[in-house]
Amino acid sequence: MRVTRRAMLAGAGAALAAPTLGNAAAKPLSKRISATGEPVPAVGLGSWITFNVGNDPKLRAECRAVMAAFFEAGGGMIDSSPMYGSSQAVIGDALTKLGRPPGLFSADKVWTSAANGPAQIAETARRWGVGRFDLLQVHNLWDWERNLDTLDAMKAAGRLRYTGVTTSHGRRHGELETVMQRRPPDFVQLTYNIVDREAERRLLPLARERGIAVIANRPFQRGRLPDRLAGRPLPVWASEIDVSTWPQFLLKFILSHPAVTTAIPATSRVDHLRENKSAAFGPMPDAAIRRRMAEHVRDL
Amino acid sequence: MAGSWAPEDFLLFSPRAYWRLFALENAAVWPAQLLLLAAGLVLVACLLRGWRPSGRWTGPALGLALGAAWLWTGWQFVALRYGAINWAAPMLAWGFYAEGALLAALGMSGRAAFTGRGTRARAGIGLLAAALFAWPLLAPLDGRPWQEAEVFAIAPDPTAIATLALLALAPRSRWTVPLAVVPVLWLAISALTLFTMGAWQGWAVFAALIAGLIACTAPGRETASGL
Ligand SMILES: NC(=O)c1ccc[n+]([C@@H]2O[C@H](COP(=O)([O-])OP(=O)(O)OC[C@H]3O[C@@H](n4cnc5c(N)ncnc54)[C@H](OP(=O)(O)O)[C@@H]3O)[C@@H](O)[C@H]2O)c1
Repeated sequence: MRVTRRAMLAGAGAALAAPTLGNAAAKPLSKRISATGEPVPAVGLGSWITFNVGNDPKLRAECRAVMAAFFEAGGGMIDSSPMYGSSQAVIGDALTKLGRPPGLFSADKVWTSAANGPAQIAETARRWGVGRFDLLQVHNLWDWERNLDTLDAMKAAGRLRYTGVTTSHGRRHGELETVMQRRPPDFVQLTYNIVDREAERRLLPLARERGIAVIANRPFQRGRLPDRLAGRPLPVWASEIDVSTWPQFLLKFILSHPAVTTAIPATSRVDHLRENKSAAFGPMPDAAIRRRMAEHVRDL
Repeated sequence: MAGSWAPEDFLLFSPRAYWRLFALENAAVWPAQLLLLAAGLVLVACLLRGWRPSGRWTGPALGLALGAAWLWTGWQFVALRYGAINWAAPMLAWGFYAEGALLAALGMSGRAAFTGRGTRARAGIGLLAAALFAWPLLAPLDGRPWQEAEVFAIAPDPTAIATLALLALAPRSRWTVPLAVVPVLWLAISALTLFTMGAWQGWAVFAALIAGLIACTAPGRETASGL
């Protein structure tokens, strides 16, 4: 199937800077945060496991190199949580050593009861070495109503830019839907990838309807998808959407959903980081190609 | 699949970050490994020749040394090193402190004696040798550097296995089961963690756990009241 220009642009959805055919490599895809229209790079960076390396100087240097490559490629959202062991401290240390490069969209979470929330947020900010987070999310809906009270108050006082709520593994989508209906935050974070597509049914359409930005977590099913697909040939038509590797294929599927604002693959490797960032370039698949992509992976 | 958890979804760290903890700890205490292995070699050689740590000094001293190994490993490795990548580890370290305190108290009270003979005691000596000399070989057998070797009194698994082994050398007493609880629980947690990491070493830990459990709870030929 040939990719038409119309299809390609439709796939880019809310893109700020959809790459054009002639100049495909010029500008990576970024999308707008519905609440404000602020652009954010479509490929962010997760930190679960990959950045939890404790005080190990060698592994910390590797994480720093990944972050340096991330900022070289335009930066964007870095997502962490108090649940991720030393990841927050590793990110903070790298940011300091890299001289706090521009292009960071800092996203973390509150992962405790509302009573302990403010103290945990203060500790999180200390670890990152940031004064104000771009985004704070209620991790896995923990005490979400009261934690959202805290985040809303911080936002009203100018101590936070955006609020969010997260879930993962396709869990508790019903409850997340309630949050989105009753008390829409600026962002929701949920698991969405080429095989875990439950969110397409209700949550992604609802996010568009209510103007909520969407962060797709576990884009690679925690590395299982690239592992499973490695060694298998890409379909010939993949080259038409400028895809030459499976991770690009998997990410383009996610990024081209009009409701998705950013995907946050985690990696401990600079080459993987660059590969992931490269998925934001070139034409994006339209609805028909997306269907074909999902069917192709399902049938493998 | 969405909505379903895999065991590895509960793992907070990568295998690489976990194995590197041993390299960092080994570097911090070098060359204590050499002293510990030499002391272990002497102990196992003496045990094989029929000597048994007991009486006023040697039994209590071994009990105290074992207690110190638990306190040190719990603090330095479990709480500080492992705690840096696993927020549950500092809680687990309390088990190590409890085991260490109990062993040290029994040592100081002069009640530690390792006087067992017969099959149960021989199994204990075999398991002790495995903890002391086979465990450091697991890293190179896995294709990892020597620096990541797990040594008794520095790394928790060989410390726990050696403790079950020494319990098998002590005549059964009312202290046997309470003293076996923490090593058994730790080894079970460690085996589960290793299995989740996809590491074959989980089988080695599991086998040592079963062997240790059988050896230290089996009835043996007792020559004195022990630990
Ligand atoms: N409830 C929540 O709030 C929640 C839940 C889950 C996840 N999250 C967030 O979402 C982020 C992403 O999810 P995740 O980390 O669970 O899984 P993921 O991003 O789907 O997968 C990460 C794995 O993919 C591998 N990988 C990355 N790029 C690759 C490439 N180009 N080629 C081959 N393999 C590649 C990485 O290995 P290498 O290191 O070898 O590259 C890593 O093991 C998390 O880090 C976290 O920030 C949040």
